[in-house]
Amino acid sequence: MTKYIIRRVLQAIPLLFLISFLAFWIYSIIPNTPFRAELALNPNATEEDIRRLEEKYGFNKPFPVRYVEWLGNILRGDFGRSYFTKRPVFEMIFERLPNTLLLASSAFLISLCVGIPLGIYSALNRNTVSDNIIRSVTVFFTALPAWAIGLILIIVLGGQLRWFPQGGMYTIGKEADLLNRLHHLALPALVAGIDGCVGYIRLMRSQTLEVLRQDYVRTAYAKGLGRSAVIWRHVLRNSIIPVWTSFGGLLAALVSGAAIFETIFSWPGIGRLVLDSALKLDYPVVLATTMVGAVLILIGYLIVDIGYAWLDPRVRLE
Amino acid sequence: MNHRAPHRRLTRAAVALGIGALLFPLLAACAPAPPAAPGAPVQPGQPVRGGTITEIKFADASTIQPLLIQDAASRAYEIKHYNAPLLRYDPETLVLGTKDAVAESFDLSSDGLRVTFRLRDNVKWSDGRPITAHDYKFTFDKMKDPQVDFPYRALYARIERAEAPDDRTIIFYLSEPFCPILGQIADINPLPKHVFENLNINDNPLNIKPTVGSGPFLLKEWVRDSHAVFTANENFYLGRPYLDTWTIKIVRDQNVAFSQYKSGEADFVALRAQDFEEAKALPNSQVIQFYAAQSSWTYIGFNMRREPLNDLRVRQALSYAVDRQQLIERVRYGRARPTQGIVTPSSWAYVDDVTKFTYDMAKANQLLDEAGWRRPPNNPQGIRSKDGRELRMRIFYNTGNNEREMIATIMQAQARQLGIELEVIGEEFQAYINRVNNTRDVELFILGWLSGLDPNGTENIWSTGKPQNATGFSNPRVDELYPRAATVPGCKESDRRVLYGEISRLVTAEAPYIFLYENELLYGLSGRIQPVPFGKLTDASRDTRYWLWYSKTGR
Repeated sequence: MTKYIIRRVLQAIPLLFLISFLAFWIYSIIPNTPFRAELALNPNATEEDIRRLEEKYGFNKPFPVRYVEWLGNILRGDFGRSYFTKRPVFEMIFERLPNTLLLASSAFLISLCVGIPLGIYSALNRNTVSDNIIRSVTVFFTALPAWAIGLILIIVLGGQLRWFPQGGMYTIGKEADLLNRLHHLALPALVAGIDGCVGYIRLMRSQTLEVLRQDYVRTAYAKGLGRSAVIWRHVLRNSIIPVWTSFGGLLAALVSGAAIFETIFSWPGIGRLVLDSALKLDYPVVLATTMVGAVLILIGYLIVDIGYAWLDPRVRLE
Repeated sequence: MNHRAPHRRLTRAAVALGIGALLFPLLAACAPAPPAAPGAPVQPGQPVRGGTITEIKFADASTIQPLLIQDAASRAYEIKHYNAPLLRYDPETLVLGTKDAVAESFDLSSDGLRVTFRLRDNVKWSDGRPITAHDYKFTFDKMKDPQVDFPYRALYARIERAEAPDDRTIIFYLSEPFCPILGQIADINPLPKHVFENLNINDNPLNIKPTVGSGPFLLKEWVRDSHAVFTANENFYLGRPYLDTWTIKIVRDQNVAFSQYKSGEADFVALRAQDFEEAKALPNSQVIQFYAAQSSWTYIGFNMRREPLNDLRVRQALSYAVDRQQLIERVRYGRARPTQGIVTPSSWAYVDDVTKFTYDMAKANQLLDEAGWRRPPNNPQGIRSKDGRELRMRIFYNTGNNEREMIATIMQAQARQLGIELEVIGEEFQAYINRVNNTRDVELFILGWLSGLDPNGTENIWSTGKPQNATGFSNPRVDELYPRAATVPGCKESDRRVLYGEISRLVTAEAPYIFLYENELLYGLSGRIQPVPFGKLTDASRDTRYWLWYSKTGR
């Protein structure tokens, strides 16, 4: 297993280089520089000021030189500084990353804990009233965008009923109060959770139905095994494998989709940092966040692959 | 704040009434009354000390280092923590003077090349040390220092150097006379020399966690993209603010922001036009509405370098095709006023006798006929053409801006009535700005303009060859008038107004823009808070005296 992990990590290195190159290239073809974009918005900025700053931050150098310089700095652990806050980018990212991971993992847990049992239940009770209700609700939530659900819940549960706070991570001045933090986390985690959950219900339902049709299930019943034993030992384990594959992608989707939830729930996470920095063309922040995101996604998929071996003994990692 | 159970509110009210009954004779005897202590009964109109305000902002600050600030959000933080200008605008008269400013007097030399400021005595930093002329000189030197990333250095190019002969005198030496210079000097927010003297301005922890300030409130806590808490500065040179804390909450979504305002989670928020009437009707809510004294307008720009927009008659035709009042009703719910010139009516430089384009489709059609763009003979509703070329153009806006998208589609419909085919194209903001300002591959574009109190700021858009001159407007007389208006001997507003009036007339006659409207500024404020009127200044101005705001309930 250790050998496998080392090999996978080594394989990831060229991939990360490729991602870094593509990301840098994409931003280099944007015709505006952050300082030139500023000119359009601020009557106080002059052409001379713009040129001075562009020169200082190397925008007059050719693309390969800039890329090599940037990469060299990253390899030395220097992710650069934001053009606007002048703060080290790494500091800016790691100040917010825990907030995003907290929201994403809470949402992930909710979607797992609700999505998987409901999907199985729905499959085992196929075409009954409860199956139809679950499917209709799933279709409803699939059709309604997550931000719309979020807004409705904030306005109704937060604004009118006052059951939940309408945003933020805690009541200002109560940052040490765990209950207060959980109260603030509940609504955004629920909304982001619903978003992931509907996918799991559908996937789990179809997978379970698929497995239920397999010969080995029929054999298990024929051997005289009880329904619950068949479901626990055979159906669940086999139907969960494709779901497990989606975990890596889901984590990535939750982190990258964070911008929407973080915006409507005023959650100070990385999604909003990326969004703001991209809009301002604050390249050092955007590029560093892209790289951190890529590493997180690679870790996500590595965990998925390792999990395979445990779930399906036919898969051999070595 | 407003989440207390009704019975607790009643109990508090009863206690307050009881205390009030006991203390009233005592208070009545002490006129003029000092601010009442927190929790004390409140007489109408009498400021109370204590209490908090929670304001919603839609974007967080980047830094609180005055020399690095480029955005309005950071500026809003800066003016709370650092706020010691040499001169201030009077919110009512808009005259730049010493009222509430750090300078007690100033003198512009007769040749216009030297400005001397005499500082008030007893102006202090929050740590109790005096704010001296050396702080202003230190800050100005840092603005000039090429090592410092001060973004607007070129703006101060006319000031050659500053001298501080003693603690209370600061002299700025100019290379040439320049009337808006007083406003620019007033913009210098001094840094405490004793704190920053040996620090790198571009990069130090004090840029996000300042220890010493000069403003009415001091930054105590800042969780980025979440909130910032400011507490009253006991040493503020105009007296401690009445409110104990001023909290800024960052809420990105305007629906959520308004919902928080409605539920009492927030006290102060900029309103969208569509929420205005609802905010006005809410219990315990007051609205603030005014037009700010600034050059601000939304417009449709024409790229005059291109055919057919290089023809004045085509530009005039399009300008006549817009019913501004109807547009304002549809796009801004009536919360704007039509603009027709380069200076808005709130400014001292406003003149009314400019070329105006009032909605007139007959005239518009006639102008296009005269320009040689004819309707197809067999189809009076068809697209006009000239020399075998159809009259087709593109109108651009930045995606995500619903207001501009609406303007574009309304304009498209109006143009179609004129026999012009306009293709509406939305682009991501950076790409759009690049198109308008750099590649110029554009015909019509929708943008907004905002510059300060001095109309000299508009030179960037109307003088030949300036980078922000997106329309390609060029008029030798205008090029000559801008520098003259900025260097009028004596800098009298009445003299300068004549020149800006002429510029405004020359510009509007050539119809480089369709000037559309100027937005009314709208805010919702909890009925609990007693503000000081903004006058004509925006809430982001450091001259708005928000240190005099108080909570009527003392909480």
